[in-house]
Amino acid sequence: MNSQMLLTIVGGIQWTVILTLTSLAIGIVLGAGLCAMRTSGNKALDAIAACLILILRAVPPIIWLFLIFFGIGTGILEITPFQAAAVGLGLITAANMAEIIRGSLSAVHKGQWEAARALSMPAQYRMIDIIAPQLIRVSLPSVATYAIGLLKDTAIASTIGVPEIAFQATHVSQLTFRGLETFAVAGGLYIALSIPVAWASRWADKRMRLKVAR
Amino acid sequence: MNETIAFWEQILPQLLQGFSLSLQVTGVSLLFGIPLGLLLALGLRARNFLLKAPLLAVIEVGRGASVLVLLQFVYFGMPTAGLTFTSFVSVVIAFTWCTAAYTSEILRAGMEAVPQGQREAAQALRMTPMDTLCLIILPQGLPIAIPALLGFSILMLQASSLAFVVALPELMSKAQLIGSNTFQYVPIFTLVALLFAVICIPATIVVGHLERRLNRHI
Amino acid sequence: MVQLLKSVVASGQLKPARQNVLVDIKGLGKDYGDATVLNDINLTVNTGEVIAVIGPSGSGKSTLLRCMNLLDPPTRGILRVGETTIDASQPTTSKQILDLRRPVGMVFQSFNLFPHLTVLRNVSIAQERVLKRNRQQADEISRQLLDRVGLLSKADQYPSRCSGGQQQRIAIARALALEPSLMLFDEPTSALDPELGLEVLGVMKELASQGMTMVVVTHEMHFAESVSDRVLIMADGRIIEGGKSSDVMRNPQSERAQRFLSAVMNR
Repeated sequence: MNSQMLLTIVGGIQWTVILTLTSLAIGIVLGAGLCAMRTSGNKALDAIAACLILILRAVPPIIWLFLIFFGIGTGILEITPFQAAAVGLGLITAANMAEIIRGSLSAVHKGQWEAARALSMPAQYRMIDIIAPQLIRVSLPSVATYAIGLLKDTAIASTIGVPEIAFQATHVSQLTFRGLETFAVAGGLYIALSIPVAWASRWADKRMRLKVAR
Repeated sequence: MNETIAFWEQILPQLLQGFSLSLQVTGVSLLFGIPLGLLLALGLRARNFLLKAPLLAVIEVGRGASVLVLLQFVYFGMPTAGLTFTSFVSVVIAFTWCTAAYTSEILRAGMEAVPQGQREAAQALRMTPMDTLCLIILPQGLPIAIPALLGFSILMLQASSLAFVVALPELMSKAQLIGSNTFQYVPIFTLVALLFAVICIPATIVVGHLERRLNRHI
Repeated sequence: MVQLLKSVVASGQLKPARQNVLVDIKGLGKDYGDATVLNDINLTVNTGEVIAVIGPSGSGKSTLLRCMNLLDPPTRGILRVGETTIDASQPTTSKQILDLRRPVGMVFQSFNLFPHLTVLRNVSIAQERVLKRNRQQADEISRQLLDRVGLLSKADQYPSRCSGGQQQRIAIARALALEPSLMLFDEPTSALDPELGLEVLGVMKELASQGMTMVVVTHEMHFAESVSDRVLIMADGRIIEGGKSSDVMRNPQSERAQRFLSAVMNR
């Protein structure tokens, strides 16, 4: 493996990271919205959200990417591979985040809601000051685990042309026919990238665990 | 709308052929991968670190590397080391590795969920560690792990859609072939999505029910 | 004549002197990291004796019991059960552990029946795997034991269909199936309603009257006074008082023992 090969593959890291963060951001925002629909009490909203979540999770990610890129991309709008990948992965992340947040909501001790209501706190302060901080702490491990999975899933974007790690590795392998080292390096990069996320999550988890009501 | 349905009728046989291959490759990988996962989970209980280390490496790589890269590593990389596999075999190898790595964690958690008192009772009755494992722990731990294993199997079926990058003529491959001939990408991939949904949505619902039933007994 | 004598000795009616002390514990101690849970325990148990161990929570009673069959290995001291002696300062081989456990049966606070096996299989499985009896023999003996504890009708049901008291009686039958000479009971009725607890105490009483050597960690003061021969009071990891049941329960000597008993007896 010469340095040029290595540099090319490493050049994909920034795309991998940016795609992961973008999809995560889109997913958390949309996911919170979907979760709100499911917990709103309105049966229609709940059903719509539940169906959306089910469909988004049942179809393999790559198909969503293809549908968005080849479907919308070539017809109605012009979108770049990155945009298609971000939207596709973002929507799937939203579906998973909705479920994670929903699970975390029920894990936040019921007494917290009751105490806040008993203190006559207005709804938005209740959310911001009492529930949201605990919600974040409770859901952090699941979100971190999902983020690590998402990092690896961004490799799919290579098939529609996003120049991230897997794309570069395929490119180098086709040029040099040295698939063994190329893909070993690519795999190693994914593993290496997930380590700091796992550590950060465990550190944050330990610090925050003390502040969650039991 | 009618054109789309007519088109779908036309391409469905081909797509189903591919889908059958997707199901086969997933099934075979699970068949090999889950028992291997069990062996890995049992092997991790060894005290000797020298014995555990290679197992841990296998698990970390199987879980840490992207499935796509794993596929390409086996299909394109192994020939450099002198081992050439057909695309079907390559996919099975990569998926079995991935399955074993993830399921070892699922099974380990399942076994750990068996109450400690069960082990103590078996110890007090002088049952051998092997008997305790086979007759007491596994019969209780495996059922606990089943919902998670099924959920993982669904994910593996979805992952088979990536096998086209290593030239396996499964569903996505067929879809792309038709697409490159007809350019009707949206109808084609919509049908592909429907095919996956038809299997995965009921499967997900069933797993959800199983999980709820299991939690009620605990 | 010699044959007759042999069979009488074998059935346990005439015991040679050295077999009188079944358990001999000297200087036993147990640490968990920095915390000392048991300290300087000295105890002998004679064949046929029933010993009740009482005391406040955290006194180490259960730990002592679990040390006796090495479920929790002691940190210091010498432990002899039957013919096997363990020195806690030396590493213990698995053969030693098995030998020490041979004459010992244990009954747990949470019963620990195997939920995936029928009641009959629960009692038979160890006989088949450990004593190498065949299925027919084992099941035959299991049925006799279940009958003895009054639960023959439950033989083909699963433990989840049985009440707590029934499960504990099945657990006793399961332990008896391996023909122990010593039975250890770790708070056998603490997880049971008082009425269900009575069923279990009844079985234990019957066992005692048939000459089984028993060490019982319990909160049941009436049992301690009326059924057991000796009572040991533990606190803070030590045996602070021990002696004949009636003496200890009615006339405790140490101040700590008096405090405990007055809190427990005069509620």
